[in-house]
Amino acid sequence: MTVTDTARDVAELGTRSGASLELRGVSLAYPGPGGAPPAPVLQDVDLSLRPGERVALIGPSGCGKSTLLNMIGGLLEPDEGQVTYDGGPIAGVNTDVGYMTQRDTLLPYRTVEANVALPLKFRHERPDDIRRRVDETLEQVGLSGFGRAYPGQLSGGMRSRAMIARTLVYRPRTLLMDEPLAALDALLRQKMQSWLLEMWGRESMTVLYVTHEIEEALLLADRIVVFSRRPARVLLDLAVTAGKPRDTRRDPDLIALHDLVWETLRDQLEAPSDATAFQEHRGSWWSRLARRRHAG
Amino acid sequence: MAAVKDRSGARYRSSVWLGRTLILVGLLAFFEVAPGRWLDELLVAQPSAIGRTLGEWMGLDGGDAVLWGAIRSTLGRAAGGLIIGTVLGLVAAFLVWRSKHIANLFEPVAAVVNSVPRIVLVPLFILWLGSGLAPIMVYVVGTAFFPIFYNVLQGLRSSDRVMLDSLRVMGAQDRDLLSAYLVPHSREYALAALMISAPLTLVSTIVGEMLMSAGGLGGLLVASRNDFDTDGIYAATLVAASLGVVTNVAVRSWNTKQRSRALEAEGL
Amino acid sequence: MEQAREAAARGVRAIVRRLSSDRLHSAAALIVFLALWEGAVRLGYQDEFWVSRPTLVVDKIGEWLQDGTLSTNLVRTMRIAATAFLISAVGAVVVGSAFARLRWIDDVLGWYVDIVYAVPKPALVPLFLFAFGLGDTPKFLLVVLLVFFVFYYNVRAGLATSKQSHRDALLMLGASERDVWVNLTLPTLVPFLVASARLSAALAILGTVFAEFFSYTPGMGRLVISAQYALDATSLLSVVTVLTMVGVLVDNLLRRFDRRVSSWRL
Repeated sequence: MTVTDTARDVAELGTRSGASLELRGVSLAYPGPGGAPPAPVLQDVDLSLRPGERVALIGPSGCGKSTLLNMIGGLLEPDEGQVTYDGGPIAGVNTDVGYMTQRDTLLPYRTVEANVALPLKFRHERPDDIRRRVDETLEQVGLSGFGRAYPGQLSGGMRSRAMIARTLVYRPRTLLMDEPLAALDALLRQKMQSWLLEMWGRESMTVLYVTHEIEEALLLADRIVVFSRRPARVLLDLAVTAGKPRDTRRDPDLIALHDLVWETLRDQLEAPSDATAFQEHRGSWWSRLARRRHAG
Repeated sequence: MAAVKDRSGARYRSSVWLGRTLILVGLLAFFEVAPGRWLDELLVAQPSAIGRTLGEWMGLDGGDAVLWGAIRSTLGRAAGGLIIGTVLGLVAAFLVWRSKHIANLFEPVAAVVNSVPRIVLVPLFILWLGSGLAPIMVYVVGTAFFPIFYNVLQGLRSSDRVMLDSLRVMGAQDRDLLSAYLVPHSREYALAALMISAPLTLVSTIVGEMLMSAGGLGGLLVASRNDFDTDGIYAATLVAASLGVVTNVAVRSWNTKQRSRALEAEGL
Repeated sequence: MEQAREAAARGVRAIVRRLSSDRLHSAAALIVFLALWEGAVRLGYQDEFWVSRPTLVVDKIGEWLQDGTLSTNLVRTMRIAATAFLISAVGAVVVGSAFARLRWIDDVLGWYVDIVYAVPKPALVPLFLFAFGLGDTPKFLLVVLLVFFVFYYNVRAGLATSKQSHRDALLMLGASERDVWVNLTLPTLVPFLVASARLSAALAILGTVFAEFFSYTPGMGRLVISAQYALDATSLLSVVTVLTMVGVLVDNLLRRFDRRVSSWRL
């Protein structure tokens, strides 16, 4: 990339419609079961995204990436520190954001169409508009003929795409994606990755993308942030400056980045893990309800 | 660290118990005061009067102790019916599971019999079997039989064929199969069925006694009503209610104990 | 003649195809049993007075259909059962949902609910008859109690299974609390409600009948008692048959409704 390209990009960044995001000194702990001490999940996390920036989050499983996303979504509040969205604090649930979770949250008793239409219905859009936009979005994710099907009839990959469709249909300014392509086979994943890239470029969204695949991160993101095990802190924050399309296998800069991230993660994974999370304890119907809240 | 709301704290629990006690006290006070004032005193008994009647029934104050006899009758019949019904259910489940022929013969019959509303059969039994103990016992045994039969049958049917075959190859006879695998495996199912059938047999016994005026608690209930004994009927109802609650609690705690023992056995 | 026989054969084959093999066996067992019964009585092995026979029962039911006995009593019983069932179900859903939101109330009053649940409810009938007279109220109350707990506990179970992750996802998509209720909580409750209905429908009918045993108002239960006192085995068996058929019919309807409502489960 030349200097002028970079300058133009920087100028464009100012006019992109994605929102900015900032976390400062954020810490959170989950209450321990029974009388156990609270388990820290995030420790003093600093992270900021400029409008329109695409950032990939990588870290070992269970390190709190989903918790982080939950906080940006307004579902959780940090114990310490501050989360700022688009210059202001987050009050309640953040509906400006598109959140695609790792779990399957499609309503199994509604058709794919009905599911994708949900955010538009909640915003009281006109039925014709809803129908049109749902059809468009379904076509974009390649699920055109499947509107009337129920999620139970679709494969895992198709369900992921339906969830993506549901997340995008209302054009959020910021996207939080938690391993959205994990259920797809390699070929489909490649297709979806280029589609995502193209769509992000078109819509100028700020994207926070959680993934396990270092290659995917290198392919999609402007920055890679690597998290440690619990309690999670930011270990690495690397810019990816290669031009697109990227060749993760042959570009020496990308290979070097890949190795660096890989080494860092390997160190994290080899340390002994913390099994206190597995202590089950029955408790009342109410505490079961409450625990569900935290298990997400 | 953020303070987590102390939902299971001591203060909360005591406030809950306070609430429960207040309601109980409030109700008792209301019913003590209301008859004669806001409620018809022929229709509603005062707790103190109920207490006195109970005392008489227990033999205090020179009343004749009908209560213990009644409880003994009811519990005896219920327990007897439960035991017989459970044994029959277990045997039937095993036989049906064992032999396809018996299954083909017995299961359709059981299905038909089960779909007939049992309670309406009681007057029929009274007509056919006279006014002795028989109609009640047939009814109670029938109540205990079906939950056990179906649950244990399902438990047996869900048993691992491969396990059974390998045990047979090792030389196991029916009896060995039973003790080594089938019984422990079907235990959960049997316990679940007992949780249902134990309280049910108590209810059926009382129902049977009510329909036949055959002594026991049911008979007491009906007699008090026929005598227009306000305090008596409330007292009898209270005793029947308490018996039901006690049975329920006993069954549930026994079940929990069985569960934890089973878990221990599996090394948990 | 030939055509009639063919039509009959076709009809029978159609029925047989629809019945599963279990049901077929049950039907066959029933027919065999009835035939034996009829035979035994006609041949003198059993006393017709005490035991009656299937054909007499059929006649009796026919007679009742004509002179209105069946319609009056059955309709009364069913009306009470159905009304009490509906009121109780709705009440239990309201109470169960309310308790789910108010923890303290749930802990305090729920304890009492658990206690009352353990009380043998038929034992309360004499008390109800005593305190509320001989009208329909005692029957009503009994059925309300019987049905209430089924729905109450099922609603609690249903509300506890509603997944937090689904709820969060909907909130993130811009759902209001009402949207969550309509799109998530209610649909999750539906299978529990249907199961409750199937469990308690029979309870409702039989509870009414039981209460009618002791009250002197018209209803199927009263038919039973009068038949018992008149030593009329035929009438007794007729009531048993009618109630069994009603029970099977209601269960069938509910089962079909269940399948339609859970069609998405595949």
